[in-house]
Amino acid sequence: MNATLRAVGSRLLYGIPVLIIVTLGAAALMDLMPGSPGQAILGDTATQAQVDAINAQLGYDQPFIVRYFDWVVHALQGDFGQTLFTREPVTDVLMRRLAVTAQLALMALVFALVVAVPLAMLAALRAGKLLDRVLNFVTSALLSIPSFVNVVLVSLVFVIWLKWFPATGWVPPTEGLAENLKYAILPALALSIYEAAFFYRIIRSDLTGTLREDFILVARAKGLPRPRILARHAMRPSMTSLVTVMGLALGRLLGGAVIVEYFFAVPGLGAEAVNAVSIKDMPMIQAIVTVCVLAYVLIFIVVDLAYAWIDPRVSVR
Amino acid sequence: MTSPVTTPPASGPGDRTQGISAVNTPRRFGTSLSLVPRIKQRRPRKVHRGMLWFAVTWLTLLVLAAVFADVIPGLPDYSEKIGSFAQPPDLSVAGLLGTDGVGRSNLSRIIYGARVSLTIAVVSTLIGLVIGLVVGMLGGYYRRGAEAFANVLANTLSALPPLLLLLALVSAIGASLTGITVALGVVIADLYIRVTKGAVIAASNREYVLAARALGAGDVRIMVKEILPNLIPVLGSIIPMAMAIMIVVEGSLSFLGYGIPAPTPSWGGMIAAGADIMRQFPLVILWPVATLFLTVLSFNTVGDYLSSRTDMREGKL
Repeated sequence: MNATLRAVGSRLLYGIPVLIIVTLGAAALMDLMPGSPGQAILGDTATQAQVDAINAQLGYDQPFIVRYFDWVVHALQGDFGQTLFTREPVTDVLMRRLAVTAQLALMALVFALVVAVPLAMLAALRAGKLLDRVLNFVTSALLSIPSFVNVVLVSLVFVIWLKWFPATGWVPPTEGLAENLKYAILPALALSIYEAAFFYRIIRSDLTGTLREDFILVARAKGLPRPRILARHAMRPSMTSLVTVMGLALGRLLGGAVIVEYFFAVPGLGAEAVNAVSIKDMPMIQAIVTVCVLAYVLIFIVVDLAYAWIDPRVSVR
Repeated sequence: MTSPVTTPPASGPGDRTQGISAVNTPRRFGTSLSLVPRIKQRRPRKVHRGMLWFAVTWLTLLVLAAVFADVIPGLPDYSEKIGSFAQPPDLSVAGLLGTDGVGRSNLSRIIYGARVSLTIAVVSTLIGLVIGLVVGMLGGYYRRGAEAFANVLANTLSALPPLLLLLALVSAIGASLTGITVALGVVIADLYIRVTKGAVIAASNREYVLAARALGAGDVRIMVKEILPNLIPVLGSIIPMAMAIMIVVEGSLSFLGYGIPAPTPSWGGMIAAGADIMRQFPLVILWPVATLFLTVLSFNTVGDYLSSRTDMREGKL
């Protein structure tokens, strides 16, 4: 346990330089962007004096490095400032958006696993047979579909042709779960297609490798039924790369659902990020960036710990 | 090892059946447990021949069309209106794929869009490659500080959702062809940094490097003359896939409205425009979607083929 704690600690420490560089980089980038926040708030008709006044009031007349340290001091106390236009606390907006994105990400992960794991098992059992070959082709085709084509096609099929789901929008789960699912299923489905194909290929390739191992031969020789061998003997050693890939997928889904959220008008983190960049909402961007980096570091700590849990030969250092 | 006395096929000097050839001769009977350590068999090529030829043909056609777009007889300019909107395909060159939402030739826009997409893919890949080679080589060769720098840079770039980082970079540099290309090159650099660093670390303890060092070669000479040529197989199989990613990401930017400015056609922009009218005219969006899909699939196929030939990334995917 002590070693585990030390492992977690050292990885957290490793995340700190990344966090500093990313937030500093974001601040510098925003500083490089043409136009100032005052300009963005007041629009093109404002005089330079009015713009300067707003900038001074919000502290944007300071050099960016001063503003950055100011931000760090506040962020360490859990205060991420206020959004540029609506003057809401950034933390509140962030939590609201994050809840939506997290719901979609989890749903997408579950969809992907439910589809990918059984299919991969079937294909691995009959490697090289028809099902395996068909799925191999289908998944490589699915991996070649960009997410923005994906959303269009999903929407074409389920909204326009089948008319099963509303085209865009969002209802939070607090206002009725059924209504929420009506809006959540389609984006989650769109997100899960790529992940399902990815998971399928990873699991299938690991499983076929494991099935060639001697301990599988022993299990067969003992007369154990095939499903039992597959579930108890083959699955566990084949899970290490799946766990890594799931970690990557979760990171991608939490921060990278930009296209899906944009297309289906879901008020999640990705849509907010696009919006924040376009209106130069510095406090919001910094907060989103921080959350993404934290999620990235945390996910990889969990993945490393999961390795040691799945495969006792791996020790966490 | 008393095999039936058969005359071995006349192969090589003497009739030695030791070493590699002994291991490689197929077993005629016995258990599936080999007595000699298994040597790694050459992985069967997973890429179908026909697929590969199709991919190469498609990419060649695309490149030729993009290069000679200006001199293709009968092909109108991409901004020229040739008829009413969303016309179905007819047999003229201009109208082969029908017209888009404002009556411009779809074929022309796809071909001129290929110019943009391919240029961006090639140039941004080169930019990323240069960054990755320099940072990755120095990091892998000198280790210590240089390696830590390479790690932090790669982790920083991949800690953020790529699209978010890209949006920020593009809005800072400017949404021009140059700006987008540079931004894409920076975002993909982490892939090249990781791969180069790993390969350099593996190569720098090999005998030929030690031999070169013993002969008095300097660090730069070893890096350029000894290690660099050995990176070609590794990088060569990644580059086509990275180009596919670049094409997709450029399309995503255009889809979000942050891509190449309006009159210039891009596949992502065509898909975004087509999505608006797909309820009535699903055919308009079909062409850019199909083009993009085939292009990405072709790049991935070529990459798969190269990586199976050079035996990198074996086992996974």
